[in-house]
Amino acid sequence: MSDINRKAPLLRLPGFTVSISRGPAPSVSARGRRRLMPALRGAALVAGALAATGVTAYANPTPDPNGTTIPTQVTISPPVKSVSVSLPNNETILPYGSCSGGTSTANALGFPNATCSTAQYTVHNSGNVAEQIDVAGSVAQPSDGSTNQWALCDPTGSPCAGTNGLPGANQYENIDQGSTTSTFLQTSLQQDFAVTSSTLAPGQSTTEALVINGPQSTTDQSTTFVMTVVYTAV
Amino acid sequence: MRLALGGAVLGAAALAATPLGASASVGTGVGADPIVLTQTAQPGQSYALPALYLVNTGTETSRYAVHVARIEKGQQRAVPAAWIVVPAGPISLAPKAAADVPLTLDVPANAAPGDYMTDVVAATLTGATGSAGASLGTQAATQLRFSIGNAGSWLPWPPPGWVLMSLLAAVVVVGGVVGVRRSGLRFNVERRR
Repeated sequence: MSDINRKAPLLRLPGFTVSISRGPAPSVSARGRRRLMPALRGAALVAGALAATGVTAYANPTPDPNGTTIPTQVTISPPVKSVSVSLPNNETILPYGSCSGGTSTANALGFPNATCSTAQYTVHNSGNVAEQIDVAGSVAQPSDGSTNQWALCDPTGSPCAGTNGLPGANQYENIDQGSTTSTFLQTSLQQDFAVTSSTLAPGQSTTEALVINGPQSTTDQSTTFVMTVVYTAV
Repeated sequence: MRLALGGAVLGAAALAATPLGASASVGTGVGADPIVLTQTAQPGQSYALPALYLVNTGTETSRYAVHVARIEKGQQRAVPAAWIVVPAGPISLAPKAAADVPLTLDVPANAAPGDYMTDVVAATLTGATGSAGASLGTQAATQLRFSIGNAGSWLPWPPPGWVLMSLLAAVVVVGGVVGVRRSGLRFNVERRR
């Protein structure tokens, strides 16, 4: 009989002795084995399924064999899609000028169907991946806050109702002009064709300006209107 | 009648002829990698999505709003905006500052199974009131994708990690007990006289 089978004391407590012993393994009858084997097979199947579903990903990392683990940290620059637009004098409202046609003066749009334009500004891919630039316009909102807005019209999406395809009453066109190509703005996003290539590379810029074709007439008597132009990195 | 669409300070000719300096800009940047829910969503459940990485790439402090809109085309089903919970208030970021914007997917109980796709859009908020002209804004969009499984599935698959770990622990405990019993080892506690 080996030592372990002699019930060597494992722990002595006041009045008690704790020991461990090894006796003969309990005999398993053929009937008991038949009952045990399905359970063991089931446990093996569950363990196999767990391994197949990637439970090992929860395991702790392998200890460093040299005994010391030094935590390290690295800062990464994630891929970013981004667009930025230059601003005149830190103002997000870009004024129109150079007005002509109808009853216009230099800085004021006249009727019918006068034209004004903005200064040039840059649209810049300020991210680190190539991206498409989309652009969208909006209705022209009068400063009195009324609902007599000017609808945005264009030759394809929402045709203008005036003579010769020009904007009708309470309608206007807003054109995004690039160096060689232009985009009639719509209220929904569309590719900015003022960008000469289909995508802008990281750090690449394009120079653009806005040109407005005003309405034939206006219901609202406000003297100032504002419209929104949004550039989207897609 | 004439309408002012531009400021009266700058001359129109100068406006049209002179490019603006690039001293100030507004910009919006988001993480370019699509936001993907790796597990199959189940109707009636909520899921925390990977956060949207938002960065102010302009030179001015800007306020941003996040919304959901389908921009890119694809075969996947469209996602109703109400399914994606985004922060309600604007997010203010200093130049070059970034934030991780939390997103939650709430799948209605009657959602149809299938693959879904939309875009998460971060946009600058412009203060357009009281001025005249074109209010320039920027926004950036990143794709969001997830799949919805069949309702009533007895087990969400793949099962959550805690379910797997519990099953593994149960297998180890049962195996250990059976092994000790079969080895014949006995722990004895005797009272001394």
